[in-house]
Amino acid sequence: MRLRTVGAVVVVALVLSGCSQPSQKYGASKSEGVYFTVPVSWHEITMSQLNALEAKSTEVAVLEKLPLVRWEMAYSPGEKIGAKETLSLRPTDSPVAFVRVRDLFPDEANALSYNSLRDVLQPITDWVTNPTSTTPIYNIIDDHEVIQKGARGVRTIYNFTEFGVSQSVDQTALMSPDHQKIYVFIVRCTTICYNKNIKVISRIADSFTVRGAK
Amino acid sequence: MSSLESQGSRQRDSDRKTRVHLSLYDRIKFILLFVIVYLILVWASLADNPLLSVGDAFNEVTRTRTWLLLLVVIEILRQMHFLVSEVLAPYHGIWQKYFQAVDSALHRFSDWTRYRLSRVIKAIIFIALLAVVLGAIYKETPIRALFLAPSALWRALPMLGQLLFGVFFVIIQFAAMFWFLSRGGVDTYFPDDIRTRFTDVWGQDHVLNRIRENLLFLEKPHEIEKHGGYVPGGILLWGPPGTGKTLMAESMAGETGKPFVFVDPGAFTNMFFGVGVLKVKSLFRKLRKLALRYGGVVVFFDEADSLGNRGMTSTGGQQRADRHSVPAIFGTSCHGGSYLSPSTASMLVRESFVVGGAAGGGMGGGGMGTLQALLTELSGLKKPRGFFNRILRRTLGMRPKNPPKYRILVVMATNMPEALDEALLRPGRIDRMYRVGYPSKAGRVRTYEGYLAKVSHSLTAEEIDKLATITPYATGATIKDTINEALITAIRNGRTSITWPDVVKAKQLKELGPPEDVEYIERERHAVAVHEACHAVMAHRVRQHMAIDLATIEKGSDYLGMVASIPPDDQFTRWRTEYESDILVSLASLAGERMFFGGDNSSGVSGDLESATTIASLMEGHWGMGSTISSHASNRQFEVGAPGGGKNDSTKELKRALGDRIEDNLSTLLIKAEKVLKENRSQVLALAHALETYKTLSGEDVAAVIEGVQGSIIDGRPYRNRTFLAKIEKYHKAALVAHREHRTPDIALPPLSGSAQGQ
Repeated sequence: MRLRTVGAVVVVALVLSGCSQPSQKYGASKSEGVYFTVPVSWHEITMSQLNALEAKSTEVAVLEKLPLVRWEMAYSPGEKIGAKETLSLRPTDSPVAFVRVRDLFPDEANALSYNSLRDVLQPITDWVTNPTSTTPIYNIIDDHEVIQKGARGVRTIYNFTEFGVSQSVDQTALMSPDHQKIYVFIVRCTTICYNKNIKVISRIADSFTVRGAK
Repeated sequence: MSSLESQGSRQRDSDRKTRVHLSLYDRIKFILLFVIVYLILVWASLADNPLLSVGDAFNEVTRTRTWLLLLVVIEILRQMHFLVSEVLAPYHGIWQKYFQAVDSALHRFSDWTRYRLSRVIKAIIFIALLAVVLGAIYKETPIRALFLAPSALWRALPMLGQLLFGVFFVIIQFAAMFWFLSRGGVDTYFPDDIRTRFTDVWGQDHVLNRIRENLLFLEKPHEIEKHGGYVPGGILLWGPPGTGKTLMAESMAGETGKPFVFVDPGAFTNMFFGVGVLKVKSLFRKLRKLALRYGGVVVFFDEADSLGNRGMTSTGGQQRADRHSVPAIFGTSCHGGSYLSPSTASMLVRESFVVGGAAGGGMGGGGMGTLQALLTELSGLKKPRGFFNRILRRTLGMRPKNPPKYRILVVMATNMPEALDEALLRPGRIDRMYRVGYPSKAGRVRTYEGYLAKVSHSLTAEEIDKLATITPYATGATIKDTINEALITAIRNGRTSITWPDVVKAKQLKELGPPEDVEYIERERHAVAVHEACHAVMAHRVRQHMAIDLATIEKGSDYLGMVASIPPDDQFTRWRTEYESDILVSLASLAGERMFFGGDNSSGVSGDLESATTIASLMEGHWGMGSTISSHASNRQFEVGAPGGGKNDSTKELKRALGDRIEDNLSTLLIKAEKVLKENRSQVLALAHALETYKTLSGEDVAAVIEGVQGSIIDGRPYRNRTFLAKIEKYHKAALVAHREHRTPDIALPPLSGSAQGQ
């Protein structure tokens, strides 16, 4: 009789779970072994959208690196935020979570260091070591080493002022154990937006997990 | 009781109006299967994404595998349908009508086809579910995942190989150990390996003819098979030791054109459980191979009693019991058993074996399933031969070929047939049992001639005939041994040719053992001589079915003196008068000692009394030679008790207890023995004098002394001289006084002087 009850409960649980929605969205590349989560309400900016935009770029460096990108995608709650807003460094009013996995050039791989990982978006090292008149106003909120199963690197949280607007960035840059690959995960928006969504942004950044390619 | 009676028979399924209730397992087994698959898929999702929560994993699987949910729902509906059918008869009736049509359509296929179809369907379902599970694990479509599985298996092969090596390494160690342990004990001889032929076996022609017949059937099986018969598959040769059973087997190996496999008696004695079984199986595998290759094979189990008996549990019990239960008459100072004819003696041994052996019980042999394995191999199921025949043909749906006819002739030899298992001796296993007994006189003559032909000798045909006569229970082995002993005696005396005295001496040496060269004190020498003389005179006077072979007062290993007798003819039946004379000869020692020693008697008569009592008991209780008719053996078997035993009833008084009747019979015979000895007092003293003088006398010389005639070695005529007889009587009286006073006799043993011989 107890077995019958258990069976009935299992069946009901199955049916109910089938009707409910997932608690969050899972950004994942199982082939690259990279995972993160974003709230369900966030929309996805696909890899093809991002690739298409990058392909139109006139910058040689961007075009050179484009074939090396293995996986990239972005999420944002802002309806107006698309590939262009994601890839530009202009501050956004809504948070943008961007992930990229890219192979490194050999000379890049040889020169790779924690400093170069920090400088993946902005030359933070230069800002700190060689401040000049053109150095923007910045503030490094946190910087610590991250060691995961499939990679290691640094997570840096900072804000800087550019275009007259203060922008906050929570970036995690990791390299694969063989130094052949770089994993970049950035969540950014204006500092006002950041402060407003700090819990969500932190949770998203914390969820970034690299297991490595299988 | 009433509640039990009120319960009727269980209703037949065909009489039920509702569906038979399903067990809980049958009701939930498919749902359980689907739930397991569902949980595996959830587990795969969780393993796939480390960030995925359990709830989201369930959610995802439920959303992406709706078919599984559908199956669950269908199964629930099906079970609900069953449940309603179990409760509502009308509902069930409707479906019955529907399924009756479906059933009749399905039953157009045979049961076997439906079974095969159901297996195919089940296999498809299993593969489909496996594909789904693998798809979830490999993150591929189920079909693709199914094709990826072999490559995954291929990649895992090295590890599986290592694991299998570990397992096989352990198994191989055991297999190798048991393989080595199961070797040995079996020798195979091929034609012309052995030179012994039937012509080398003497004195057993009747058995040889039968064996020849069996070999003929083995060589030409069609001679009997075309008439609907079958080739006898087993022969048991049984009989006393040394009668040539093994030699016969050896000659079979020499005569047959088939391979001959000799199985050592110790082949099935092993340390570990199961090795004996392996040995039997390996032996018969070998036999079958040889039988197919050469068209037949002979296998010989020597000392087959070593195979054991399932009816007896402890090991070696029977042999021990046999050894320790030898009657006292064979181990006493007087060697009482020697006064009996060999057949009577063997009967006494057998009687003691039956009583003692049954109580002791036990016979181990191979044990531990070896005998059972042998029984099965001898006439068990004959499975089809060969791996391809049995496995491959059956896999392909073909019937295996019938097993071939293995022509295996099993020959067993034993001197303890009663120790063999009954099942071993049944027709089909052992078809023919031949007793290889003591050779007949003609056989003994032929055997003596055969062995004497190999040495130099001066024995005449008459002497050889006489030798065969005085050795009635000689076997091939004992004859060979006697001739060899005679040759040793001749060589010791500086000759190379055997003479008659050499043979006689060798015979005495073999039968009595070497004398211990112990000198009796005079009064004891005289007592022993009188004791043996009483036996000899009584035997000479009353026992016609036995002839005295020799009389001696030379102390042997287990006797002080003895009178040995032999049957002059090959006689197979025994009579009451003969047994009575046996008893008289046994009782002569007691009667004589009492008569000659003033009512005193020695403990040396104990063996004689035991043999006399045993014979008297058998006469009274078994052989119908007493006052009652019923057999004591049957009475004992059916536990009805012996007749008689009453004290007051006059009718019963006549049929007194068995023990009383035996005692009465012995008393009567003792009186008769006293009378005979009284009538032959001088002959007893004369023979005692001869024994004291010569120590050992041949049968002819014993008769010569008693009758007062010329013997073969000793002249008995002086013993007719009254003066000399008076001297002997005087010496006896002096010895009697010495016996009473425990001292040396006053006068010495009177010598056989020339004057005495002359008078």
